Amino acid sequence: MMNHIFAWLIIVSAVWGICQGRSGEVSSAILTSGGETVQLLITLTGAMAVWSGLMAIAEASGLTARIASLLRPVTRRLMPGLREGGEAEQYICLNIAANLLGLGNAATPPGLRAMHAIRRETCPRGTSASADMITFVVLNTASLQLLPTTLLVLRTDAGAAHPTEILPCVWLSSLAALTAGLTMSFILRSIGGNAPKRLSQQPPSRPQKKGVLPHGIF
Amino acid sequence: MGFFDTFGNIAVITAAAGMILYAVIKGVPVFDTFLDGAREGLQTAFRIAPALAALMLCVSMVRASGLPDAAEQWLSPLTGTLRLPSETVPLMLLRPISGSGALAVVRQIFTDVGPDSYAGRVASVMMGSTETTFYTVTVYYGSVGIQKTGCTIPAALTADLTGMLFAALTVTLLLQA
Repeated sequence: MMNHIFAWLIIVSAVWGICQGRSGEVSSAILTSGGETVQLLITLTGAMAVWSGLMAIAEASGLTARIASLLRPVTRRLMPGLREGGEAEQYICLNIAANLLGLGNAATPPGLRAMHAIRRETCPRGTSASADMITFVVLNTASLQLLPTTLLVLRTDAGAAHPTEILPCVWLSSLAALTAGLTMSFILRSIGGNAPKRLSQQPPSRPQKKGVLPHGIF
Repeated sequence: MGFFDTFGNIAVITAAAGMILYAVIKGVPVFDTFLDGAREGLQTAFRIAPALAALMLCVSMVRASGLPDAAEQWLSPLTGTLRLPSETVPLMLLRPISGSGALAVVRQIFTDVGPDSYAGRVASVMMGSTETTFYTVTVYYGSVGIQKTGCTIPAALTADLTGMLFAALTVTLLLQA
């Protein structure tokens, strides 16, 4: 996907730029973009070092785990198909806590472990996503950051008079986005006819298979 | 406006100092832990550098070609009614696909019209309240080998679109008054 986007953006803007008589601007954009990238990277790299350092402290001190335990009642209600106190629930809470604290990178490892655990608890065999899995992924695409650190640094660096003034707007918009996303997934699931199935409460199918296998072998 | 500013500043300070304080109480070697984390952060920044270079090239070429100005005229009826600044249209299109691309567009907007302009503020809120949806979906489902993602993509894109519309709405109501 990125291969197409990268190629077409460049080709189209090159052709358009020349046709519009803006070849000077376009060629200087090509020549200066590398340097601008380095400037941007200097800002970003420093910010990432500082915030990753702080996040490591939050994780080592158990602050992330503490926040995670506070989230449990909420996640239980959002993803009712999961085992209470199970592995999935634990990793989901850790993932959300890390997201809230503002570093997406620290959120990915528990996020992926949560996916494995959700799969084990809700759809051990299938190749289609379970309701709880969809809820969890939508949760992760709605950016639940309390402190969007990269953005704040970028604003400060660009000379904003009040870099942090946008935070309340960010929180409200994130919340609205999350609500809309979850509502939409619920509506679509109801229309599709497979409303939240609590697979964990159905009798497990494994014992039957175990009973069948030996017959086939012997 | 001064209220939100102070509020935000206190949030940043509380986060930084609060994490340290909590860790000191829990007896964590804060300095050494910070160094470990910072090292990891530097590596992350280094990892995204190539993608950032590629997308900065794209975005600055598109900007220089004047293509967004032409698109602006076409889209002005739509963006006007929703109070979406035309500068943020490329951001809305690129955000779900590429995090580095979105970062490059936001930076471009900051250089062109400034972070304190209406467009600069809306772009900031859009960036902060949405995610690189397609990347997240690919990585998360890819890790467990799920192929049928059901209604995940439509639901996640609904979330993105809502976040972006709310960016314009909240900035208009809270900051531009």
